Amino acid sequence: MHENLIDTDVILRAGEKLADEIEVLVLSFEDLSLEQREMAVSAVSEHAGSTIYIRTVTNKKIGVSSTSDPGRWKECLAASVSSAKLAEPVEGWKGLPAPAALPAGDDPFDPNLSIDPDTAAAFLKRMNEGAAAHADARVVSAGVSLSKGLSVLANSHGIRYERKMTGISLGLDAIAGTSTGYEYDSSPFLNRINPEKMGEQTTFWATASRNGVDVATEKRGVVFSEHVVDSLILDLFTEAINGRNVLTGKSIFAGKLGEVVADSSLSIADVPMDPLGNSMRRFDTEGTLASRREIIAGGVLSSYLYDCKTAGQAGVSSTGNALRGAGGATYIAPHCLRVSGKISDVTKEPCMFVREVIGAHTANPLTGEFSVEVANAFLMEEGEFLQPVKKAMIAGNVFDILKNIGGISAETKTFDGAVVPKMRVSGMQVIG
Amino acid sequence: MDTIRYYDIRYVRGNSTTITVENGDVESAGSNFFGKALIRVLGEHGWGYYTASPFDPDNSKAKQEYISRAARAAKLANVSAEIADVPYGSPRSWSCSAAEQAAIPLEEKAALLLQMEGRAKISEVVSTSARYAEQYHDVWFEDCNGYSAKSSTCRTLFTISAVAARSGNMQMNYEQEAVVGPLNLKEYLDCGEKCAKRAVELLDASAVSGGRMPAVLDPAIGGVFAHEAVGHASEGDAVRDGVSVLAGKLGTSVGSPLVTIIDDPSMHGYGYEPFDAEGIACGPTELIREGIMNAYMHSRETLAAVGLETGDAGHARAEPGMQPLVRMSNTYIKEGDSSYDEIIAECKNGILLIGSRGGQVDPGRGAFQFNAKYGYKIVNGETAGMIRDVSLSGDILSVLHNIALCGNDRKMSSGMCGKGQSVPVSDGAPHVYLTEAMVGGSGNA
Repeated sequence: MHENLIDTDVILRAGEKLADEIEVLVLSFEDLSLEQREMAVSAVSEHAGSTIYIRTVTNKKIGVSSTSDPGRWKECLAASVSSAKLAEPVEGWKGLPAPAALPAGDDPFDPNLSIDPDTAAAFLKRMNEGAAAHADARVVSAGVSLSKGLSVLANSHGIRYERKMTGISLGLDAIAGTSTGYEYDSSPFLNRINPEKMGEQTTFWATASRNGVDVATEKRGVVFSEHVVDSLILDLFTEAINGRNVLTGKSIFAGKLGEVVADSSLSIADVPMDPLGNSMRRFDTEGTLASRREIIAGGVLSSYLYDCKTAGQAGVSSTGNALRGAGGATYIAPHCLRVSGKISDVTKEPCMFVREVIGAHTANPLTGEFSVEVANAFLMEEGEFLQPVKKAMIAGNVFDILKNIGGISAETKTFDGAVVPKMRVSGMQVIG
Repeated sequence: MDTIRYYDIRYVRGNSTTITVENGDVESAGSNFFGKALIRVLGEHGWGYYTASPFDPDNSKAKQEYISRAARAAKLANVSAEIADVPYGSPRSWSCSAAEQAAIPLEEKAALLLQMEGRAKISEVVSTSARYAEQYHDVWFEDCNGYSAKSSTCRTLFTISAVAARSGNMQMNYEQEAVVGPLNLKEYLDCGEKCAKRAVELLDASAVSGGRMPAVLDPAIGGVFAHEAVGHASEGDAVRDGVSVLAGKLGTSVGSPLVTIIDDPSMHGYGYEPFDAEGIACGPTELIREGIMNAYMHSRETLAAVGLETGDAGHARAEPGMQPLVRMSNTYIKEGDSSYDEIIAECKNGILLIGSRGGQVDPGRGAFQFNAKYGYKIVNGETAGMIRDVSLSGDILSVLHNIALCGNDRKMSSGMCGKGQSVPVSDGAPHVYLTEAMVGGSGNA
């Protein structure tokens, strides 16, 4: 990794001559990927590099810039200083964070993960072995990516924090006739990945979804898989609790702190050091300590999420939810959403189980309205799949769903920004 | 010595600048500088890739080292890959390096963006924002056959959005323009007001009742249909892997005789590339010609795998430092001879879908979904009440056969396509009449 080649102190010293405050974030990484086709390795990729993010603040005006070419850090610094001149002063700006005692806890880092082709090939083999459980399906493609990274955050107030990361990403897809299935999983830790089960589930979805039946257009009970809860419901929820969207009038939750916005059984918290999570964080990407935060407690909205800039504008303190996007500017996101509520056997009563939806990203992020196509959906009763559904759409409003939860499952699946249960919703509009 | 049957190097160096304004203030302005090279080696069986960053195209010693690293990686590949021997072609040369765009001071661009956003501040609009971005790419390509090519491309875009609110009801709208080459914001200042007016109108729109019904697609959403439903299913990798409903259909009828769908990397649209990520310059490829499956889009590898007679190479695209994937560029449904009024009248009772909020397809299953920005009911051959949050889904082959009229008014829209990597594309269509479509909406009470 290149971090040692990039002296953050040199950049800080250069920046301090040009700006009131400066922050340098260096992300260095190495990764290795194997792709599979025709049940054998078809391509191997290696990659290593660094990205430098520079932010400068002058007269409460923030400038940002980034580069993936460490040799261009001077251009990057100049662009950051220049862009600050264009920005408006941030009302209420309290400065970049100062050093503080970091909470105890581990990084999302597994020292036993080796970034080598043999390790990756072993994952592929194990996924294929699992996929063989349903021989009617053919594995179309599969992939393994292994990575190791280090981020170093330093600023002109004396912060110098480091965070180590490892990553294992696995995915495969299969087809049986014209019925498809896929599975994807990622984790920093070797012992949390189950390649055999992923393979088995992928070919199961492809084979079990064949010969689907039509369903009527009507309102009915629907159970969303963890995938759908994550990609449809929690994605829009994340937009609504974003402090920047609240400030700029783009959140349906604006002005609703203390109000009931969800079923009284439902609570949602952001838990940065959740032991089941994928991205433990003791500090965010601008150096604010990250801590547990209740967002919905017993159905009542209790908090929004902020970074330093939006917190200043809102007259509150940063909640430590700054992440870093392309270009170097921060964006606001939860570290690990945890959903709690009335746990039940969500598929015991008759329902349509929806494992995946096509077009989750086309939902209206402001109002929460959506109408999407279902995939790998089944009519279910007593926890058993009765028949696959040939084709259907579901339509509704994500924020209405939060008020109409018919129970959540005890079992969960971990995604990068959340640990997610299945969710039952009654009276969901199904279009057959 | 590692076996090297072929290698190429694609180095992309560039920078991008983005300005965001929000509710009358410059929210942020930032720049990104990058320089990444992908070194690709075809070994004894398959591919090895190495991404180098930083990269110096004049450092031949470093190049050799990277080629060796990619060759070592390729030794692990065990699926036999071949590449078709195809002509490199002659790049269509559009003026798109846009030095004049770079020369305009950032302050001037920010001021124009603020002007545009200011015009969106109309009654009942509670929030506005706008974004401007320009991106410069210099590409060096060379391969082991001594072939080399260079290009310089500028892409410029703006997006403006407005949120309207009344009595607890909130609606939003956005407008955008994205071009290859320069873009003069002065010519688009009225987009602010246009965007805001639509957001306010949406406050009075009703949710549509879903179900099967006749539908008219406007050029924007018709273009998304061409891209999502037909384009992705015509990509050579999906065809090779047997996960496309259009695989094996060459020469057979897959849709109405009115339907001709084309992908053209040489067209001056947002998806324009002088040459693709394998150095190949390509012209229009007719995917479907008058309802008959005519050709697939290919990389050199998928062309060799599926068959030289099955389509054209020149359709491989990649983000800087990433491997080429078979992708679309500028995809459109060819115009027909019907007027807009004829199409609405012919539909009689159905739905008109306008604008796109994006879409997704499962090419193996042949299912697609996409969402309109808004629409109108069609009652007795005329447009009636405005509707919101309406989507369309369907089976690719059924919908292609359901196309009963194509308009004479094709327009192109620009956007990004995500298929593992995100690349600029454009798509378009004339107004298109579908005799039956599956419409999704939450208005069923």
